[in-house]
Amino acid sequence: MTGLDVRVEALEMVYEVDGEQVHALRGVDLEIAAGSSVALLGPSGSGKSSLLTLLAGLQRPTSGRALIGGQDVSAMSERALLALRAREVGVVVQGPARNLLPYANAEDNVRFAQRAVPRDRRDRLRPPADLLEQLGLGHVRRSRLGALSGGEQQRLSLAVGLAGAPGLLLADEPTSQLDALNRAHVVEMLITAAAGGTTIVVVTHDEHIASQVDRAMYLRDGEIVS
Amino acid sequence: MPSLTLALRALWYRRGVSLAVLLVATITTAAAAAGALYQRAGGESVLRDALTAATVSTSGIEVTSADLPQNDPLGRLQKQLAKAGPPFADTRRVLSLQNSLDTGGKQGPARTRLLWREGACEHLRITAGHCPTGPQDALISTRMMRSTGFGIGSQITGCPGAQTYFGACSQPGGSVRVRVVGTYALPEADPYWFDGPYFEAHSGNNDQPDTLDATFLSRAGADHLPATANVTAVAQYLLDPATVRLDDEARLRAQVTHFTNTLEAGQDGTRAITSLAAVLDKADADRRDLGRSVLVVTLQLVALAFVVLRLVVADASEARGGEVALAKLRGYGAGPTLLLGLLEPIVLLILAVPLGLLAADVAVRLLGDAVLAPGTPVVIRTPSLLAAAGALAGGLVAAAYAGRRVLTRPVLEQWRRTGDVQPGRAGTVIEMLVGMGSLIGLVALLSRGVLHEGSHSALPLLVPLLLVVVVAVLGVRLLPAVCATLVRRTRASSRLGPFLAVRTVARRPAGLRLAALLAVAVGLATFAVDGSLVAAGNRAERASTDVGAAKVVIVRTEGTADLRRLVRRVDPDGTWAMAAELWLPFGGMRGTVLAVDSDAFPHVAHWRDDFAPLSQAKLAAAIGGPAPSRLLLTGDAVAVDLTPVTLPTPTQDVQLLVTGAHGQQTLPLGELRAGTHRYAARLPACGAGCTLDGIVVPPGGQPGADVKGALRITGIADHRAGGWQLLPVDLGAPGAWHQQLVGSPATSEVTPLPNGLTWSFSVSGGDVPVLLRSTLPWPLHVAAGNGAVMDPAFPTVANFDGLFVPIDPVTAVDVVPQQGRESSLVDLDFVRIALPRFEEFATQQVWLSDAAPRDAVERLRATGLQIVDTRTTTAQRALLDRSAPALGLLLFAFAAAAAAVLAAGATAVALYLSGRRRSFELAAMLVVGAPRRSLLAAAVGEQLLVLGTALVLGVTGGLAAALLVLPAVPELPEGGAPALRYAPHVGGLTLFLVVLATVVVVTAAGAALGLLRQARPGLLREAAP
Repeated sequence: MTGLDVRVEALEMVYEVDGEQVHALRGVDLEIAAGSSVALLGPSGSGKSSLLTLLAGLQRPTSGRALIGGQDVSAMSERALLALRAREVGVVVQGPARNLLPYANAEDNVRFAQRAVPRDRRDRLRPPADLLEQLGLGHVRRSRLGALSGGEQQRLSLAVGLAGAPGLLLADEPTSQLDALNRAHVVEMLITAAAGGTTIVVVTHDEHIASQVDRAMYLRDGEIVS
Repeated sequence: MPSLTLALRALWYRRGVSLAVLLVATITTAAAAAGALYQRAGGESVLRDALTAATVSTSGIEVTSADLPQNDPLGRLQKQLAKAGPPFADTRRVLSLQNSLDTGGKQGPARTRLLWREGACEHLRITAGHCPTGPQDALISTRMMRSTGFGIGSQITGCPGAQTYFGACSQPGGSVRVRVVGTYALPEADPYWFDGPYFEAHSGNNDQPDTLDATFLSRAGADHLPATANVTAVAQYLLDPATVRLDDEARLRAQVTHFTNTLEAGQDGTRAITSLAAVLDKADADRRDLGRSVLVVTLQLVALAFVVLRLVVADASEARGGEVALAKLRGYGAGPTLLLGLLEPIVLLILAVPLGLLAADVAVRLLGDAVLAPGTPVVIRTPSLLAAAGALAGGLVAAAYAGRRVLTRPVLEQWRRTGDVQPGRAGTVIEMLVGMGSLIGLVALLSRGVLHEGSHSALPLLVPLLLVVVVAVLGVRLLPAVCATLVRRTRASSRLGPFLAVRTVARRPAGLRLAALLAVAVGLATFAVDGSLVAAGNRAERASTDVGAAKVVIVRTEGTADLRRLVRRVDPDGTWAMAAELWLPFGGMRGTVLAVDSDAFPHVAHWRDDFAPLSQAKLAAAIGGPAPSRLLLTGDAVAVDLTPVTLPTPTQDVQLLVTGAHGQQTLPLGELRAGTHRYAARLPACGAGCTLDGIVVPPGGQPGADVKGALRITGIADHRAGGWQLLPVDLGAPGAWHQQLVGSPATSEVTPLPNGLTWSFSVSGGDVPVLLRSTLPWPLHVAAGNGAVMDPAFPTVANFDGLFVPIDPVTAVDVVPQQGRESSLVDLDFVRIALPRFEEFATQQVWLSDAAPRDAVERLRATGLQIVDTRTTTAQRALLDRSAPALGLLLFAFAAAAAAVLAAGATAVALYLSGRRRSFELAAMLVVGAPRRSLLAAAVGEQLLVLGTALVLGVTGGLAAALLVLPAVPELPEGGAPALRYAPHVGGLTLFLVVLATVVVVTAAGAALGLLRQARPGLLREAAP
């Protein structure tokens, strides 16, 4: 697995809410080396999730650039962004319900993610069963979503994010509402992925994750403060 | 690419919504396909009924060719027929040879039809002897046997072909001599006889001989008629209605045209007569009417179904929003995402095609079994398949339109959504356009006058939808405004439930679309329920009026048997059976006259309060009523006190008409003299008594001389116990005496006096002045139809024998049961007395009420009545129920039912989808301390507001449409009586409203309880949908 480097230059994001401008990001500059793992920390409303969604190409910045593997995602077409997410970037958003198909079992959810990967790369992906086994979810691979615990659902979400063997994994609050054991499982999965060469960017409030990754960055009022 | 397995799993996961989409799509497809299917089946039914209702001679073909026997007219005709080929497939042909024969019986000259008819003996019941086989053999009816005195072995001689000239055959050697070898009973109705006039018996008009039933000959007998007798060869082709389908119609028309043209091109006088084309034309016109109704109704239903389908698919697409967003998150391209978003609806829509076709087929078959003509084929054909394909295409467009927003919505926006399907600006504009378009359409239709009564357009059926759409769309738009007002009022209240309910409705106008849809469905259902009940009532009335009673049996009596007496033999009180005779007067009155047993009439005949100004019982009493009593003479002599006011010129005798043990006799009283005298005569042996029937002034002098005079009669006495006893005769009672009129109306007047009467007369042309003791209310009481009396100044009715009888139109009658308008009613007994020979041209019937025993017809048969045919209200009702207008209305009712199901489906989907979202809100309120009871009240109140508004608007619109439109909606075939009624069917509507209200309340309560059950605080820890 080859990780992707991330570079953010003077990234600004301004929302308009009820006629008033809200600055989610104020000229953020950031560089993440390929294969490294970074935790974005900060209070609610500090701009962590906005930064993540900008990196995932789910919205456009007001100004500035975000480059993933040298490609400017803020200037990419929708089609190119879809291709980028299918080929290079795994995204895990908040809440398992948004990451998983509710009517599919664990294996099918992984397969669903892998089907988005172009055929030339898909053949090189680990089969869903193997991937789930590796991530400690082998025992639930045939289970429907409703039969999984909250922790298992969160871990499955992460597995689905990693299913396409992305060069970059963007994960938003992957350990929220999890108990200590499940948190440890998730952290272990992230570390394992990073060890495999995948660049990891995690938005979290969890200091434990921050302590396990290569680098922790703090945001406040849309700016990186440390 | 999402796999089909995954799509199927998704379908199962969202089985509630999937089922609703499938149901709605199936109904949409079924509605489109059923329209075409129903139109076809209805058309087949209409055609079959038209052919079945037509008499065999109307739908069949009769070919005639006249020639001399030696030229073998039948052989020649057969050759021509072979050349022309059969006019119908699988037709049945009956050949015959016929001529008339003038002969003489014991009652004078008579005319019979000499007839050889292929297979006749198989359709006759031989009562004595055998079928004719030899050239001289003849078979006569038992009725003819009785009236002529002929019997088996009798020789019948006469002249064929009406060649009689002063009692002898006009052609030398032209007489016919046959020998009676058997007798037959008059047959009952049988298509074989081709409605031929073979079984008739009545007096001859003017100088014509009496008509007798047909005399059957053998084929050899028909071939050996005198060489001078022109014989008519006849071929009759019977059409079996069951063999004709719509597909055959064009070919049938062409075949018949070719057949008749070929035959008539022969220049030998061969004629082919048929009214089949007219029957087919009428069926075509009815079918076109049905087609227009079906088109209008189907288009409405399909349009409504598409609206629902779009809403349901939009809801289903919204339910897939999360998955579409997930696909985009994973990087799926546009194609696979599109497929993911639309695969489910596409699968469901495709699945709905065979299901819809099947549903349409089953529905139309069930309808067909219930209302269409028996044996009507229901076959899925190209139009139905095209309609189903159109429905699929429309569904796909609806799905694409509905899925468009979900597919183009950015991922983050999808996640931020609450799950509500808010109507976009475009949706609101469309709704307003639909409302305004409906209003404009409504105004345009009304201004074009489509709602005038008696219209045969299908456009009135469009008005209910337009009207309820206008009411619904505009009405529900007022709901948020009303609720916003109520929010302010309920805010200050301590009761949380009402406040939350009105606030939710005021803030979330998404529910309005559902309310409008429900209102439209309820409106259409209201119109359909009322329309169906009103039309069913009108059809029932029409059927009962058409037939006249629950069952009407056409009968024949032998000779001069009194039908009323025969019927009274089986029903002595006249409570369930009534004798009736239908007669067409020869003068004095227009239209038919129905002579009835007036005592039984109120018990048996169908009646409605607007048939006449009088009630049925009063009308019966008016035409019946007590007859003046007979004058019974018990002494040995009778006398009349007479004073000639004007002595008749020339001087006349005076006579009495008396009926005794030996029939009616004339008793001479001597020559009239000036002054008052008692004129007496001895009575013949009277046994139990004689009756005085009348006074006669026989003409003296030259035969045919005019007779004028005036007599005052002041007393009638009979001689008993050695002295004259004045009889208590009501000489001065109006109508107690009348002059018998023969021929043209004479100048005659009977003037009652305080102590007697004055009889003035002036007759000519050999007529005899006769003053008769009335044995019926005189003049004859008649309930006269509109315009029935030709000369109101001198109202009379005349028979074919030239006898005029004055009538008294005691009351008017607008509608006579069975005969409709322009018909009149009289008492059967009285008309028999007044016009003794009217029955010879009357159709005899026995009317039976619902209370008649099951074996009533058999009982009638046992009295010697011959049963010719039977009609029942039930059968007539069934026929009307499947007439083109009724079939159109029936489809409308089914369409409304389907619309209601669609609306219910849409409601179920909306409640299901909004359930989870609302449960989060309610859970949050529970957490902040809102009482559960208040939340339940709020949830119930909200549902009641939406559903209740839909109910009120729908019912109001539907009722308004019913009042406005029903008079213009074709309900029954043209013409007929009585007038249709359109008053709302209160009972049916009340029941319908109770059911609707119950459904609304139960739905509202169930949905609210379900919501509250889901709303638990733990829910808030889960991700919002």
